[in-house]
Amino acid sequence: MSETPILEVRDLTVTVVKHRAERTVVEGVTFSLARGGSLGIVGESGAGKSMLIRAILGVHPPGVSMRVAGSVRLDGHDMLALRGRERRRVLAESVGMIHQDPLRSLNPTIRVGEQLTEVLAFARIATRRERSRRAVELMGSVGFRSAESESRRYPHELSGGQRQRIGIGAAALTEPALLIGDEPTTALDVTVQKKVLDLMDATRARTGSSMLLVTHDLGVAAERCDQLLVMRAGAVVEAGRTAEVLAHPAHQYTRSLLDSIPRLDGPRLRRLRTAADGALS
Amino acid sequence: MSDVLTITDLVIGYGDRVVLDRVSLSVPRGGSVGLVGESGSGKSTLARAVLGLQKPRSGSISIEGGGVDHPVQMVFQDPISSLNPHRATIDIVAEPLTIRGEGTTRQRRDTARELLARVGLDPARFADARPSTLSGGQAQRVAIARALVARPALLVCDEPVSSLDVSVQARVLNLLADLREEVGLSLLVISHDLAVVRMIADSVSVLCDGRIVESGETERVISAPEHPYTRQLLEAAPRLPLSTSL
Repeated sequence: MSETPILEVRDLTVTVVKHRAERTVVEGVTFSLARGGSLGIVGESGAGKSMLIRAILGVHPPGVSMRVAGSVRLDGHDMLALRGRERRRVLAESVGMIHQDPLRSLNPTIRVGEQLTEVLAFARIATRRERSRRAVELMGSVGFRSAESESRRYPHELSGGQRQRIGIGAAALTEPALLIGDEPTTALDVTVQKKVLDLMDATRARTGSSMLLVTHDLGVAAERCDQLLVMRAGAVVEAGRTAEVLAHPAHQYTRSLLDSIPRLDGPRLRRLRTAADGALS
Repeated sequence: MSDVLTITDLVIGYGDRVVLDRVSLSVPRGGSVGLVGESGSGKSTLARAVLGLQKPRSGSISIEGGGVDHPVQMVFQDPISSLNPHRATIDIVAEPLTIRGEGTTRQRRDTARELLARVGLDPARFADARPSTLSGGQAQRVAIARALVARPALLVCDEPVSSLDVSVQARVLNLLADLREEVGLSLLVISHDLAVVRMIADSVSVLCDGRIVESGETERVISAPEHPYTRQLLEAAPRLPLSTSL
């Protein structure tokens, strides 16, 4: 491929320092995401998925200090070398972030339409009138039928699925080269999850953006991503093309993860195969 | 086979809102029935009604308890918060016996130790542990042990594995399957996940907006769903290709 990848992570190691104790939460992670491609990062609790994303974005959890080693190249920028304003500018231009709970990232006291106009102000869309028009247009584009009146609602007046659609709309607003979803559908019902994931796919098809999807749900990653990265205890245990990893998992951990998921197809199992190694948890 | 639980034309509402609309459902003795629905379907209200915590507007719930004071026990979604944080695991498990005043303290503790071992927690290691030191899967095992010590006629599990990681989830599901066979446990499993219900329940009812839209043998409902909503649920569920490692 002649184009440079949208995201290149090399040997990324994250050490968290909390109450003077040090803990390595991400260890030597290397991967790259091609422009237009989609990569699913899967793993169970404690795998280091969220810390990996935080390190890529340079966002530290409150009260915790993080030491990050290795390299992160985002859209050609050396992210670990950039500081403050410069780093935020690159993130604002290149990354759209979709969180698990969109309510938390929306201000509860401001009507949703106005919040979108704030995002548009960041994106340097000039006039207030134009921003209002674009906000309504945006809500229409993520499936709100009466966007004009719905834009005057407060976040708590919307369902989880509606709020997540707004989250996607806001993330995709500036047509960033990379969309990052951190468990974007974990809190949603399956039928709503499908609509939200379909919307993310449609958005990517329209803008040509790449996607990094962090999820504990292998089924979601399998359906929506062309590459998979399986993590456990801070390290990558397996990576490759989704179809290949699922058909021929090379690592025992990936195989045991696949075995422990109840299925809707195939023979009905009375017992699931569980990893023999781990201590009872 | 007699039924442990029989719900007939149950209606529950708050003010003008009807949450459950003429719901009928039964669990045969030793059987396992799944109840599937999404948020707002009324499934948790039904669980509360079975426990006697929710007064029906009309209809009836009858439980063949076999003379036990509390014939229904419940296992909740969030295991850690369902356990008293100040008490040792063994006392949490023995609590239903303590409340009933059954046996001596020593006898109650012996029974609790047996049940801890039964759910796969070594009593030597876990008897004195506090809930805060347990993982989610361990805490859910403690909750199951506490439910079983009461010798319930029916165990209601409300989303018993949805807060657990998949590998832990698999172990808890296997435990429930073992207990069904060995103790002859009767189960009502409430879940949003049809695949979980498929593994653990012989028959299933699908709840949508307070109404049961489809009921039947689990395999039939999954392979040949009759109601459009059931089909919609099945189509929306993310699928993995069948594993080749079998």
